[in-house]
Amino acid sequence: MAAPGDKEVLSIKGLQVCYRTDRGPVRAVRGVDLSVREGEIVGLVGESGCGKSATLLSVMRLLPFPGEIVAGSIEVDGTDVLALNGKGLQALRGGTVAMVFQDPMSTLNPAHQIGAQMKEALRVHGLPSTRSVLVDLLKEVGIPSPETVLGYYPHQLSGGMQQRVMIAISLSCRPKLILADEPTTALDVTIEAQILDLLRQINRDRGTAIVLVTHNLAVASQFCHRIAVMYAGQIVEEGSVKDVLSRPLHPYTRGLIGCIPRFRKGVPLTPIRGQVADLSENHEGCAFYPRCDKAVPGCLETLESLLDAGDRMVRCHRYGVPEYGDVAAAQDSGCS
Amino acid sequence: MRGVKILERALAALPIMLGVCIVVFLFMRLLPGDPVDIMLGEASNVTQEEIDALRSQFNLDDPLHVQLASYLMRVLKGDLGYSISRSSNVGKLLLEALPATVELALAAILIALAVAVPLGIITAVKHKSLIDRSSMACSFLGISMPAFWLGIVLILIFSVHLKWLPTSGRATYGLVPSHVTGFYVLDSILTGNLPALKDSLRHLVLPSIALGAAPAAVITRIIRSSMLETLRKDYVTYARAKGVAEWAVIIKHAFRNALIPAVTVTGLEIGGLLGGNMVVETIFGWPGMGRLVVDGIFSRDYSLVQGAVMVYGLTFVTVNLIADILYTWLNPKLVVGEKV
Amino acid sequence: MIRGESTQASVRRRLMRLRLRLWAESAGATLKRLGRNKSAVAGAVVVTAIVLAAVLAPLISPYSPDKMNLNDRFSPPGGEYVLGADHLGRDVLTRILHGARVSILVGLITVAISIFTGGVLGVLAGYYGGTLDTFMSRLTEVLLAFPYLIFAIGAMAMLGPGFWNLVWALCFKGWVEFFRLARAGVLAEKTKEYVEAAKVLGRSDLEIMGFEILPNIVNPLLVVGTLRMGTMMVMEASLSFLGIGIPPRIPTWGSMIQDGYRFILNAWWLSTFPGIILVALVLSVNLVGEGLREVLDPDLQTF
Repeated sequence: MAAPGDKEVLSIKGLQVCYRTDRGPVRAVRGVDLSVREGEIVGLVGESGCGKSATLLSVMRLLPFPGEIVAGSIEVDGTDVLALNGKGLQALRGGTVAMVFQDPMSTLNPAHQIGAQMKEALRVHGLPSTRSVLVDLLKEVGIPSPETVLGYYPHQLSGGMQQRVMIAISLSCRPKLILADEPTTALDVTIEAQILDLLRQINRDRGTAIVLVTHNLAVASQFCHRIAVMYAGQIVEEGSVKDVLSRPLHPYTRGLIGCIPRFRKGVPLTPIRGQVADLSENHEGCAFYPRCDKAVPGCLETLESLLDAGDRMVRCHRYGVPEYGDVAAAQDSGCS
Repeated sequence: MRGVKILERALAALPIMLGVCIVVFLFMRLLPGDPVDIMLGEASNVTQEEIDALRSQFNLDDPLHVQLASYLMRVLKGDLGYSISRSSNVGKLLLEALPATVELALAAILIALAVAVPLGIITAVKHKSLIDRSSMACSFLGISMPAFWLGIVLILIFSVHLKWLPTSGRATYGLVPSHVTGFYVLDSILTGNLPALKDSLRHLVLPSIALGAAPAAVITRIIRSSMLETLRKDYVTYARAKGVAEWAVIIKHAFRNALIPAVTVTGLEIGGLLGGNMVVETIFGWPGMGRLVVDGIFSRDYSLVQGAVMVYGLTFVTVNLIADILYTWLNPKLVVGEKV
Repeated sequence: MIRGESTQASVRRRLMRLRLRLWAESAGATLKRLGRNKSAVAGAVVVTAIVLAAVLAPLISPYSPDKMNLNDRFSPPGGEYVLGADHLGRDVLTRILHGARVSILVGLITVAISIFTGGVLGVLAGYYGGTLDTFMSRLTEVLLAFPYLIFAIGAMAMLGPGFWNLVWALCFKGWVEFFRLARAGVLAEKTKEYVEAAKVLGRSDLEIMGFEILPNIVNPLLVVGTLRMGTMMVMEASLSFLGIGIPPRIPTWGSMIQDGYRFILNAWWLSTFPGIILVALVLSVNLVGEGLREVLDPDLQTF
């Protein structure tokens, strides 16, 4: 993996997203701060409906109706995304930032040939779209016989190949940042590894920063430099992959790790009890409180910001409090 | 591969066409008693030759299946029987009336599509807006309004009251363009006859609106619902994520896909327009097939009615076949090849 | 043995009662949801008003529908005759009220016959398949190859004018759509597990079709049936307009429009008013149908 640089490509501050539905507002994202540096791979991990995808779509200003960004700021490569419109927005989408979606089968337009769909992306950003450019792109993402594939319709390709085409399209305009929304969820496990390899290779060769949204902690752990764990529209913990996985600070992260199946005999899965928080309700204090086995009454007070835990952050009242238990103990044993 | 599919569809239409002929043949047999006697019941001054012509047309002494076979053979040869009321060949009569009917139908289809396609797209894009709601209300009205009454209202307003447009006919006497194709609009362009062009267009406006209104309403609804569906698809979001301009997203990505299911229903609608055509032609005194049939009914000219109903049926099958072929052609999912 | 049978009979009776209650409940729920759809309610109110007016026509009409008063020929609306008088001095309003009876009856009867025939044949063809299914399906394809109005015109040309002739001419093709809906529904349902379960429990084919499958496929039939009432009324009016539908002595909206059309240059009201009421009725029926569609089968493509 390429070593991340210092320059920030993406900076999200205090992002809040609200869906104004018929049954009242749903606050899908409630104050997310996220920063991605050049060449960095950041994993955004959490259960379905925790606001991961809404965060990504906000960066592209693609929130579907009735979703709306109600507060916060988003900067991509120094540009204020929320101030963009018309041409500026078009230049950002697919130009500076490219997106890879979850299900390539439904994301590639069934009515157009692969070549035409690739050409379109290059054309709208004023780049040359000759056949050789397209062929090179397809070669780069490892598609065999690219000449033929250009004339294919999406349904003539397998899921893995379709996802490669999507990645080729997202690469085509040399973006600074690729947002990958569960790019392997719809694929077989063996294909999943290939696609992740491809993304890693792109990150290494081109230095493109990647934000990977996934519900799969195992995938994130193999792939990312840094991980941000989301719960109920907030980031509850953020840090380097090593730190977060080996010494999770937030009870929710610990719960997630407990849910990963292991190939060792006799290690039982420990599911997180309860249900994902209902985002249409207004939570006082910690949203994870009802499901937390470490909860104390003090958790119901609102925690305004992430607590600094060295080079990582956590959103938990009990962090730093002496009776915090094993994590605090780990802290004591000098791993700051 | 697509070619094979198209051929398949074309072949599948053949038995249906055969069925149409059989049903039309059986129509005649619905009549109790001797068809020739019934047909001649009210007709006066019929010559013996004409009676003989009818007799041989029906060869009533043969068993039913032999009659059917000989009927089909005649149809295949283009012989649709003999019209007593007009003392002429039914096929020839219909062929003469055909250009008028086709001209009107094409104008109506053109109007319907010109209204329905943009409106269907706009209402879907501006879902639940004022324009959407009012267009849907209008389309409901269009669906519920019989073509003949709309025609009368149009005549009342634009011909009787405002005196802008003629009440009936295809052309003012003396302004009929010289015959090339039989389509007045086309003929007047071909012969460079500007007054005739203006005149035939003026005659065409009201009937084609009356005929096109209902299909316009239906097709608007179909395109709208189909567009609403495709606008929600991932590939539309993805097109936006690629930086494609909004209008191009709507046309190239959403509409291109919405068109596929809409084509079939549009074909059906255009076929249905053939039905309205009879009434509209009657109201506007349009000398087409529809009016010929209605006249035929009153003069008890069953061969004429029978022949016309069959031609309408066959045309309908053909229109649907064209829609089917268009569907096959538009739908890349039917391109089969090896998966990579 | 006897006891066993009587237990079985009582179980059946109770099952029947339960089913009826469930149907009544779901019908109630449907009506309740329909009640929240404003345009459907508006449609229902107009339909009810017109139906009432049609039923009470002899009582509320100011004149007799056939009473001619040649002194009042072409009396314009607003005077003694609210909606004017026609070329024979007959009251237009009275004739509209009486004409409503024909439209409503034609709509109800033709749709009832079509739904029943098409539904029964469709369920049988879908359930048993085989030669019956193949034959019926081919037949419907051929019948669908005729534009509806053309087919009806052809049939009426052969049968001659008359109320029942008209009903038959319309039903001749009307059942096809319901056949196809019912057949498609049965094909989709019959492989489902509840049908398998019913078979395992030893239910007869008739019971499975009637009690198990039918309730699950009836919704689209009801929706399309409602919408087709409007179509049938338009069809009747068109045929009567052409003079080949209902015989001229019975007042119908179509023949009134036809009469008025002949005098279009000097008496606009003769065609206008029957047309307005016809459009109002068809529109209202369609609004109710669309409302039903939204409640019962939102994915159904109509029109």
